Amino acid sequence: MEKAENTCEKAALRPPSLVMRLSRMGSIHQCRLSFMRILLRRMKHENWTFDRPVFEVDAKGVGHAVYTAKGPKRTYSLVAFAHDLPPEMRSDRVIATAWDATFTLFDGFPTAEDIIRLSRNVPLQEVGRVSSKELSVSRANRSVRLFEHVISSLAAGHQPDAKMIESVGYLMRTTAVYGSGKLGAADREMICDRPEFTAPFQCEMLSVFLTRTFVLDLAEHLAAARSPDTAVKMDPALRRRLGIGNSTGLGMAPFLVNHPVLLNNWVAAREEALARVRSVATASDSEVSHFLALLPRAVQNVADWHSEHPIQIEKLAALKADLKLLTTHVTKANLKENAPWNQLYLWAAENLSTEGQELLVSLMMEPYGDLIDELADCMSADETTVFPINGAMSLSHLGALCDEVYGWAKKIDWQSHAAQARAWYVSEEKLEPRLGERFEEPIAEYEQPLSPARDAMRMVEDLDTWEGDDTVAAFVLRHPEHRHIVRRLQLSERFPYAEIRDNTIDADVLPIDMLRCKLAFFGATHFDPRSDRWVRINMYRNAPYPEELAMSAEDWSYPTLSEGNA
Amino acid sequence: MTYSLNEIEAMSKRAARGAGFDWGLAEEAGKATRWLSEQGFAGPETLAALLTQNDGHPYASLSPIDVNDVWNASTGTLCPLIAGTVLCDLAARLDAGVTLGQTSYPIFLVPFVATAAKVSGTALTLSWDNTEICVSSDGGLRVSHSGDLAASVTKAVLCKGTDPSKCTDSHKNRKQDVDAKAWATLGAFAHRTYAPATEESRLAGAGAGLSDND
Repeated sequence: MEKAENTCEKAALRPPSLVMRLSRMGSIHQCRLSFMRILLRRMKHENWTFDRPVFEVDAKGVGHAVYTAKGPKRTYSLVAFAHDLPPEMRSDRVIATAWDATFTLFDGFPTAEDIIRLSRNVPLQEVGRVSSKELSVSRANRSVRLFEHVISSLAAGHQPDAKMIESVGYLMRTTAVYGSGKLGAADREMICDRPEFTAPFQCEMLSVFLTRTFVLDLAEHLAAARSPDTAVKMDPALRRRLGIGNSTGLGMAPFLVNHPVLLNNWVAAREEALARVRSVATASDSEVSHFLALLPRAVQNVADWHSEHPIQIEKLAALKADLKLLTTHVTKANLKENAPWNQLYLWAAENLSTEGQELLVSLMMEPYGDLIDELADCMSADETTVFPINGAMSLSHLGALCDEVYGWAKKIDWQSHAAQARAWYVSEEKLEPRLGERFEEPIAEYEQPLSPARDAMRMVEDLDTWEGDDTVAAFVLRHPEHRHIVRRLQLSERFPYAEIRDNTIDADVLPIDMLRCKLAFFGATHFDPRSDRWVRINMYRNAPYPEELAMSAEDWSYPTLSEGNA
Repeated sequence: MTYSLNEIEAMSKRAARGAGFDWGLAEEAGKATRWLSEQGFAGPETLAALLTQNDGHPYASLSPIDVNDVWNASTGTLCPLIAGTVLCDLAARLDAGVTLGQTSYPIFLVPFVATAAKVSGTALTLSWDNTEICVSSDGGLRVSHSGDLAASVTKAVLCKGTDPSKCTDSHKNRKQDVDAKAWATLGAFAHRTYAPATEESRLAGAGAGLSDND
C-alpha cells in the first residue's frame, strides 16, 4: 500500500488509542471511501444503465414496481411494494409489523412467478421468507411531514417549499435494510467474489440508491393521480436535495463489536488514506483549488444539518465555529508546500473540535482519488480465517496484548455500578436489540458479549493465578468463559483498529457514537440523534439520480452552491 | 425449510448459548454447524440432538480431564464441541496423534479438525468406528464410511496426520434444508437468550421516540 512519488517521509498512521475512542468514532463523516460513494463511482465508471420496466401502482399508492441496474455482467432489480399504511401502524422500530413500502433486491430480472412469490413475503419482512435469488430485504416509512406537502404541491402545479425539503431531507426513511442471508436471502459468501460486491454493503447501498428513485416516482405518480390536469414533476435541482432517510436503533452498535476484523479494515483503510494525504510533499494548484472549492460546500452541508438533540446541537455549534476558523486559516496557510496537508492536520488537531478534525480528514482526501480510492478494495473481510484461537501462545504474550489494547481499562473501578451500569440484550419481541440498566432491570442473565473491556479485566483476574509460560490452550480449557475475549485479543495483534477503546457498558456510554461510525462508513450525512441510542440520518442526499450518474461529479455528497443555498 | 448459512450460524450460536455454553464456545458451535451444512452434513439436526442430550450438564463434566494421554470426560462422554475447540487450540500437536475416549456425535469434531488442518498446514485424519474423514490444509475433505455418520456416540476417536493426497474432495453439496423439528428445538434453546418483554424495556430499551408519524 505504498505510494512513492511526491511523498515526503510517510506520515504515521494515527494510533488506535486516538482513533478508536467512542467520542471520535461518533464524530466521523462520510468520505471518498464510504460505501455509497464506492458504489456510485463504480457504476459511473462502468457505465451502468438503469430502467423501470414495471410501475403498477394505483391512485392510492398501492402496487409494485421493478427498477433495474445493469452492469457489465449482471443485472440487479429492486422489487418495490407500495402499501396503504394506517398512521397508527407507522413505527420505525424493529417491532413494527407493517410499512409504507417494502423492497427486495433481486439477483437478475424477476419472472412473474418471482413477483408473485415476493409479493407474498417481502411485505411481511421478518415474518416472510425470501430465497437465495434475493440479496436484500428492506422497508421504508413516509416522512409524514414532507410526503403530503410534496404531493399536494406538485398536484397543485407548483414546486414544494424548498425550506421544507431542506429541513426534512427525504420523502421516506428506511427502517431496516437486511442483507447477507437474512430471512433466507443469499449469503454474502455467495456473491462476494463479484467485483461489484467486493466492497462492503454494496447490495444494500444499491438497494437504497434505487429506492430513492422509486420514492420520488411514487410521489410524482400520486400527485398526477390526484390532479392529472395540474400536476407537475419535481424540479431537478430540488429533487437532488432529497435523499433517503434512515432510522436506526441499536442493531448497528453490536455489529461493530461483533465484526472486529471488518471494523478494523474500514478504519485502517481510512487511516491509511489520511496518512497518504498527509505524506504528500507538494500539492498542485488543482488539488488546492479542489479543496478550497469544497470547503464552502462543506460549510453549506453543515448549515443544512439540523438536529434537536442537545448533544448534536452542541457538536454542530462547535463544528460551525471550527469551519469558520478553518476558512480563515486556509486563506493564510501555505497549502502547497512542505507537506501542506500534514501541517493542516496538525493545526486542526490543536485548534478544532473532534467533529471539525474529522470533517477536515474527509475533506483533505477529496482531491486525492488517485492516491486513495484503491483502498476501497481493502475494506471487506474474510472473518472465517481469523477465528481460530492460537493455543500455543504463552500467557505472558496474551497479557501483553491485553495491556496494549485494554491497559486503559485497568484504571476503571469495575466494582462500581457506574462502570457496569448497562447491559446489552436482545428482547424476545421480534428480537429487538436493546440496552438496559443492569442494576434496575432483570436483564443481566441475557447479556450479549458486547463489553470486551469488562471481559478483558475479568480475564486478567484469572490470568494472574497462572504462570506466564503456560499456554493459552491450557488456560481456556479451564476457563472457557474467556475464549471470547482471548480470541478478540489475539485478533487485535494483527488488526490494530479492531477494538473500541472505551467502556461500552458505562453509565455514560452513548450508543449513537457507534451508530454514527458505521453510518458514516456507509456514506450517511445529517446525523440527527433522537436519543442516546437512536439516530436518523440521510443517505444519498445531493446524489445524482440513476439517469444523471454518467454526468455527475464524484464529490456529490457536498451540496452545490446555488442561489437558493449560497 | 431452507435456511441461509448465515441463518444457520446465527441460530446455532444462540442455541448453544441458550444451552449453557459460554459465548466463545457458542460462537464456535455456530461456525462448526455452518461448516457441516456447507459440506453437506446435517449440521443443525446434529446440534439439536447434542444440545438436547447435554442440556443441564456442566462444562466440567463434558470436557477433557487431561489432554496428555487419552482424552476422557469426567462423566465418561466428551462433548464434541468442547473437545473440538481443544483439538483446534492444540492444532500443532495433532500431527503426532491424539486419542479421544468416548465422545458424543463425533461428526462435530470434523469442522474443528478441518480448521486445525488449515492452521497447522498439516493434513489430518479423524477416525471412529467404520468412519474415516481426511481434511487437508487447503480445505480438501474426503469422507469414507460404512457406518452411521450421525452416530450419537462412539467409544474412541483417533486424530493424526495423514498424506494430503488422501484428502481429495468427496464432499456433497451444501445441505441448507433443515428438519423443522430440529430447527424448532434450536429455536427453543435460542429463546432462552432473549429477555422477556417488559413495558419498561419496550419503552426505554431501544431508545426510539414515541411517535414516528412526523
